[in-house]
Amino acid sequence: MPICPRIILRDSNMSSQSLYLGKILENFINYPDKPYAVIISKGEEDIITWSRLEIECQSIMNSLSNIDKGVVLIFLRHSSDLHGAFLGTMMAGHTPSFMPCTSVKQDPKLYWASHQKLLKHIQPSAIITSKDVEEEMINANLVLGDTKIVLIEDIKIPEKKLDVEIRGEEEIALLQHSSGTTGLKKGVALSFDAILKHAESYADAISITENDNIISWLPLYHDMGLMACMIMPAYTSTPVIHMSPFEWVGKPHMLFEAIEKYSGTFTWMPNFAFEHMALYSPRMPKKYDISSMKAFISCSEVCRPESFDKFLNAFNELGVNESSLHACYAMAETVFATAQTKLGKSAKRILVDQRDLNRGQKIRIYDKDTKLDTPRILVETGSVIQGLKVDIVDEDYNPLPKLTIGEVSISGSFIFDGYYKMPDLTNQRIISEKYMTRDLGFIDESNRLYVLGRIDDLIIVQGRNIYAHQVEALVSTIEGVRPGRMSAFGVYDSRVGSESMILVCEVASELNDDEIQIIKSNINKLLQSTIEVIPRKIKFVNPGWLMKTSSGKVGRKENKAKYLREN
Amino acid sequence: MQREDIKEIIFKSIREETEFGGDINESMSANDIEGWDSLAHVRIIFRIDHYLNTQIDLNSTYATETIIDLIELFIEEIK
Repeated sequence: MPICPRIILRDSNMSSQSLYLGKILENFINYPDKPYAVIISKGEEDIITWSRLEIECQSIMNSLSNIDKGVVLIFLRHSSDLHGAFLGTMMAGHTPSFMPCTSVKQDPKLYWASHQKLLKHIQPSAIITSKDVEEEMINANLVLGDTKIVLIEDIKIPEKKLDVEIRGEEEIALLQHSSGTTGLKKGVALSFDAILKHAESYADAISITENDNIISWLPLYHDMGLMACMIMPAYTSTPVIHMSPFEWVGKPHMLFEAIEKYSGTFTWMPNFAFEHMALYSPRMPKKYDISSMKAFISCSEVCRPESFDKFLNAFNELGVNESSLHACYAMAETVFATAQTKLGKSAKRILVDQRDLNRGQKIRIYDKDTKLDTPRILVETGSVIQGLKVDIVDEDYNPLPKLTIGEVSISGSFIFDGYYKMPDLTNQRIISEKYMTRDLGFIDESNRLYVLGRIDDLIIVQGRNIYAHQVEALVSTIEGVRPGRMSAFGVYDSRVGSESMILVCEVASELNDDEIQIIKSNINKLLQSTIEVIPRKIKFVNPGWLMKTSSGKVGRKENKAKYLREN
Repeated sequence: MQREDIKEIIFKSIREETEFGGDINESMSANDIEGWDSLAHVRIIFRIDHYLNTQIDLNSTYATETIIDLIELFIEEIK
């Protein structure tokens, strides 16, 4: 059967798609009975072997065979179906993209209404979903146009094996949708070349092999879940044990249970999760043996030393030690990882003066016992992985010397191709072939990267990226709020180990308490149903409270400082 | 333990976790209390469990619409 080569012959003419998907096809043959993944859901464990994955990929390819090539959005809840749906879509020559489904706290009508603009922008050729999700779409009167619906319950195994579609090198392999309001979500377009090179480089950086076991509660619509816990391990033939984020958050011991049972070696999670696990530690039903772990990798939000310490103190006796706590600097625009701490060694910590942490300033590193008025301990995010280059640049994009704070810019062989159908935004962020991250950081004398925070208005809440201006645009639609007269910003909440969103809104002074309460409730309901993040605090102020910049705009930095002074 | 005691523990747990400074009453829902997001919900339940020495099934708490429902759920759990 003419198919993308089943046994990889690594000649120089083979496309990256053939190399990436060819490795998966090779695994179908070489490891038919070996687990590709184990899906844990509601106490049940479902093993997907490589041979079963092949059948599921073939069934998806069969269902998509008569549909025009294009983007396929996958709206499926945590289940075994996700993997065949995504990889089968790739094999059928389409461009898959995982999308989140409604959670129990979201209003389906508001949620789907907010997706209408996204669907119009992407114009997907198909949506793979389940009957219950389709029913939500119908009830919300979602207009699908020419988009075909493929129900996972209706897919069938083809009578004859289907060939993998070979596509041009320039074709997009997948879309990774960033957070943000659904109508404005950015689709990060990644080529097969990029995902292949990233998988090889990152696997080499952490020395992961088919003998490792990844344990994950991360959703696959997030780049950390998709790349670290699906796309890379499918290539390295590393089994992944997946659990639902919603189940894990309520039963954090599930992570340790799976580590013990499957001799887990790697897990990735945002900073808040280290705090959450530590908070939960007194409720752990038993003392799990988690000494098999090589790395708990903190990623997707600024790694805080105090969160590592809480985790270490809580679980030291279970086998966690300082050299198993790691950090990674990652983003969808570089497929995933950009820098990674060295396994087997403790992540380096340095003492700096908080007052030195300004753009353009040279960092002074103090001896750890030095007494400072405003001390701040930073954790390295590691060295840049092979294939990428990081430059710290000033406002004019000129490289800065070591230990000087500037914007982190990245170039190299697995940078994204651009934001899908957003050329203007792409041009703003890729300058002279460098991706401008809008993160502030510096590189030390040993080439370790330190990341300090954001230049722009991005708020990172529990690993999710939320743009303040998008939140403000949404809240402006709420009756009773003065359009454009609000300010959203992030404030670090040490109890949770993550940023929290604060919203300050001007409202008419004659509103009574009941009316204010209704506005608050409507803001929370709208934000919960669209971006799934609600403000930690909503402060209502009288007209005139909000400070403006010299250009007349509501200034977030100024209003954040004013809010912090008053609260 | 009386219903009123359970109610006070739930109110206290909500306040501690969300730092909500306004009045809380039984008919309120999560949407009425700023800071009550999905992670805060779990942490509120952890706190209530800690004070009441219970281990409630978290899924059952997601079905509650108001604080009254949450109180009733914990009354049942303690029985």
